[in-house]
Amino acid sequence: MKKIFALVLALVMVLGLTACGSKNQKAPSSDGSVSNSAGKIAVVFATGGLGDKTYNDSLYYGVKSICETMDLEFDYSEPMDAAEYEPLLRGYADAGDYDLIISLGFSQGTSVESVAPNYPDQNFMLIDAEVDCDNVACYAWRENELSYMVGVMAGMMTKTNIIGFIAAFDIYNCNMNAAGLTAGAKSVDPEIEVLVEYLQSWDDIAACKELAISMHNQGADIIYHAASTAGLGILEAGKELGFYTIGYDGNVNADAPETNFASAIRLFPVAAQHAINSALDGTFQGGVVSMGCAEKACEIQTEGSTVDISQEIWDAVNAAEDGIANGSISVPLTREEIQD
Amino acid sequence: MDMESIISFLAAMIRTATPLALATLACTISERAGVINIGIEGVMIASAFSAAMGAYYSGDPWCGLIAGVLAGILLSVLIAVLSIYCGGDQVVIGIGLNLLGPGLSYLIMYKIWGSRGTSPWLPGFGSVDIPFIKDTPVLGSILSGHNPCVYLCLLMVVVMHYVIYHTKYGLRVRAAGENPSVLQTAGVNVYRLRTSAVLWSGAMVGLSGVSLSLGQLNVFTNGMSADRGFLAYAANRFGQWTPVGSYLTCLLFGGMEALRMRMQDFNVAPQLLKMLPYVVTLFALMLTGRRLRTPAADGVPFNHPITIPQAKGKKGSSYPQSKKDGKENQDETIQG
Amino acid sequence: MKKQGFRYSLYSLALALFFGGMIMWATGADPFTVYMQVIRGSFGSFSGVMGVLAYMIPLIFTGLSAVVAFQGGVFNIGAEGQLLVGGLAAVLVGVYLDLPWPIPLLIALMAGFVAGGIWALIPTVMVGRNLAALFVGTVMMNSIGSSFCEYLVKYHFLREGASTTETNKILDGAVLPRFYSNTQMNYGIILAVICVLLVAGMLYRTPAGFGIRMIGTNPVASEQAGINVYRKTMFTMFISGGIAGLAGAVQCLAIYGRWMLGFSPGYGWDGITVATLALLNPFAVIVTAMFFGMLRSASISMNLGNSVPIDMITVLQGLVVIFVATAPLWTTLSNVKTILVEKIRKQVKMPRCNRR
Repeated sequence: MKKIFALVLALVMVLGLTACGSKNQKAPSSDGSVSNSAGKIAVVFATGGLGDKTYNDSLYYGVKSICETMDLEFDYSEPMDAAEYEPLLRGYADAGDYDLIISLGFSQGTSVESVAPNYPDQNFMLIDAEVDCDNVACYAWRENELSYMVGVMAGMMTKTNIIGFIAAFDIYNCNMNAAGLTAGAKSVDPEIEVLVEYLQSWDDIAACKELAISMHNQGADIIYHAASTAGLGILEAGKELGFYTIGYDGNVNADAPETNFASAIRLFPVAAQHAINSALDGTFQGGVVSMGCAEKACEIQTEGSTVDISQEIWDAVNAAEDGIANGSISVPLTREEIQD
Repeated sequence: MDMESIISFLAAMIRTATPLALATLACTISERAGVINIGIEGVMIASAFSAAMGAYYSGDPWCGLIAGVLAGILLSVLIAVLSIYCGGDQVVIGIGLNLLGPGLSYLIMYKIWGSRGTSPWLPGFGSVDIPFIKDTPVLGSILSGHNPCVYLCLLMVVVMHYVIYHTKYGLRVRAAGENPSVLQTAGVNVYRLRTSAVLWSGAMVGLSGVSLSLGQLNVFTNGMSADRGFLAYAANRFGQWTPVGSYLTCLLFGGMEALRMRMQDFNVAPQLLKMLPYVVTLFALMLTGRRLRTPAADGVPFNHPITIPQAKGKKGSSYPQSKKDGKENQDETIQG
Repeated sequence: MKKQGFRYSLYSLALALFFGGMIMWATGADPFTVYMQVIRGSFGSFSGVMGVLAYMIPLIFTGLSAVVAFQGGVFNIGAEGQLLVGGLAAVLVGVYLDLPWPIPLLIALMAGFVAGGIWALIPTVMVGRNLAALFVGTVMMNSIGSSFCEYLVKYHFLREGASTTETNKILDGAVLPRFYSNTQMNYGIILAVICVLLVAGMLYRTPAGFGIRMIGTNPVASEQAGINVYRKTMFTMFISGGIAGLAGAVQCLAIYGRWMLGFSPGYGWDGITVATLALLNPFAVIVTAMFFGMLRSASISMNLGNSVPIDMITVLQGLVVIFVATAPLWTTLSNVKTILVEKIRKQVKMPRCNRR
């Protein structure tokens, strides 16, 4: 009886395998629809996935609208963890028909570094990390410039002269933001103090809220973050206790219209457009492309918020943006530079 | 530190401790009855999500609370049936729930809200003041003005302490965790007792999920439980399987967390600050840990009565039987 | 009984797949397509098979780590922390030891083993063999381990110009080579299999292993039999932690070539599942690890085509774990059958043979 059962089971498995083996001949992705579009783009998002209201969403909507206007096909995948980056990148590269593979997030650097040399004809775009490969264009933002603008804005709006900043981890990118924010605020009034705190998590939104409350108790009346999804916690705290907050990497003004008066946005579409264009017309080049105010890749958005921002403040912010763009203002990169 | 910052620190401590404490209480009751519930992390996410869904569709956080608690109980039924009645490995089932709970939640979330990251903003509880305590000078600002889950948690500590130590039911629960066969001899149905404890535990995990998505915040996000379930499991042990001890342990953890957020001025690396609560616990463990005593039957499945027919032939009357059965047996032997 | 256990596991698997199918159907996916995709994604292509094997490697190690600890009666759930520390130790050797190929690799693996072992020893030394306290201790060491590694890398071994917390790349001498450069499959699999053999040999063929299993089944009796339970527990924890450390070392040396923040997606936790599903049998660990590797590989290929929500795989995994754990269900059912038959017999009042 048992033997028969095992035999039947084995037979079923073999049949199943052969059946899918034959199916495998067809193209596995995009449901076999024959494409007559201008090209194909693939995106590997950062862990955290879509719906994070920050950079994954920001890139997703950006690339999606680009693909719609240029009539491109668009595939994407959401890795569950860092170990999945490499196989996903290889999966797209193996398919061979993607004009550009975009990979988002500094944690993908190592994976791109090991994948890219195997596929010299495949173009990669890497956002937020830098690797040294000929077929990888790395787009890195000078986030300190964006945060400098935020700092100017917050510095002019603060009444207590204390601004809070919540960073996810003690890493280079987050510290760059902290440095920019501090410099910007101090350019308005050197007396302004910037509190910097590390959450040590990308997704613990409850802890982020607690942190924001504790900063508010220390006198901060404007809080800004660079903590991905967890950063949404500051909106909650702001709504509850009635202090101002600034979102990062995604427009969250509509989520707290009365307290979140602005969102600092890195314009991923600008970079994506640049990379896609160069990949399609064959002028694609590896190397590092630095993005910042000069490239018009940073923006402070206030749509969706009901808070009034005076023209005086806007003037100062625009002046800061121009100053950074033409080099008359130099923004420090690390917090140590400011303390000196 | 001035008075005001101490008060705000204590209030933050209580707030931060609440979701963890509710989960720890859940652990306490089920382990006291002899069932290890390691699936807290997963059930917490599932109930936080159900609460979010309930609140979103009804527009009322209290409906969300009911939905969250129900989800907690429902998943606990799974533990009860599979581990208590079928004798499955409690730890593995718990691990399975840790996968199943979040998986199902994100799946349904993707279906209904089109995103597996964040939910829309929900109607949360907001903060509620307690009438008399509110006006007390210091105590008022520490104890009052929290979300209802905080008060529920405090209430549950008291209730659970009373039930476990001062009622017949509590005595039986403790016995079920120490020596279930004695309990069975006394004529109590161990399965039913353990099931009731596990369902209660499920309700507590449900509350803890609710306190995350509707109490502390008004939103449900991917991975928002942030390993609190595992910490709860440890906190329960550190609290010596007592409700009050568990709550105090959670206060300690919450306090450490709140302290970490206020220690930025000392110019210590944030990673080391993050380590602090755990290092303190470890040293506290070194001083007190050797006295910790697990309930003797914790995690040991109780043999199912259906296995009695087999056992009867082999071991004779090693399992307690009702009087009637006993008589029948006697008759049989006499006849024989 | 062994064979029956295997058959029951198959029943449970079928039940889990059935319930999984129901859930898929309820959420609007076609179960048959999904299952076909799972098989196709894991064993349907060369890269899929290589993926399965690659994902197996860390799980075999962490599974073995849990097997050793659980057989010794200690609930070591600190594998995640031990893995991180072991990985960092191995990488540091790899970065700073400039010697021809196999030498730094071997030293790095050894360093990973020792570091993981020491990380497991710390709570053991602090609380002794008190299982409840040891449990809490290992949980604490997980969190301490991740913060501690992050601190060390951030302030002492940070790569110049790194945007995240990561070390320099290891030198060529310490690289654990891959089978094919375009897959993650590496020679760690051979190490893993050797490790399985060693652990099985130690547990079942040596006095030390006998001691471990003995105090696992009955610590009081072992104490009376003259075994130093405390010292033996330290030994068990050291081996268990060491193997977990090896998992981290292999992962860092072969896949990433450096230590970086968040390189382990919870292999330590998965190891507990792998070990318990394998009923604490070192050889069965390979099978259960393969099962998880298969689902993992399938999830990646499904993710590429973004046709099925990726959480489906997590749900499936959870169902399988739950139902396989409930193998006694089938024993119960067969007993219910016996009882029913007995009851019917009683009612029909068939003549029974005299027992004496």
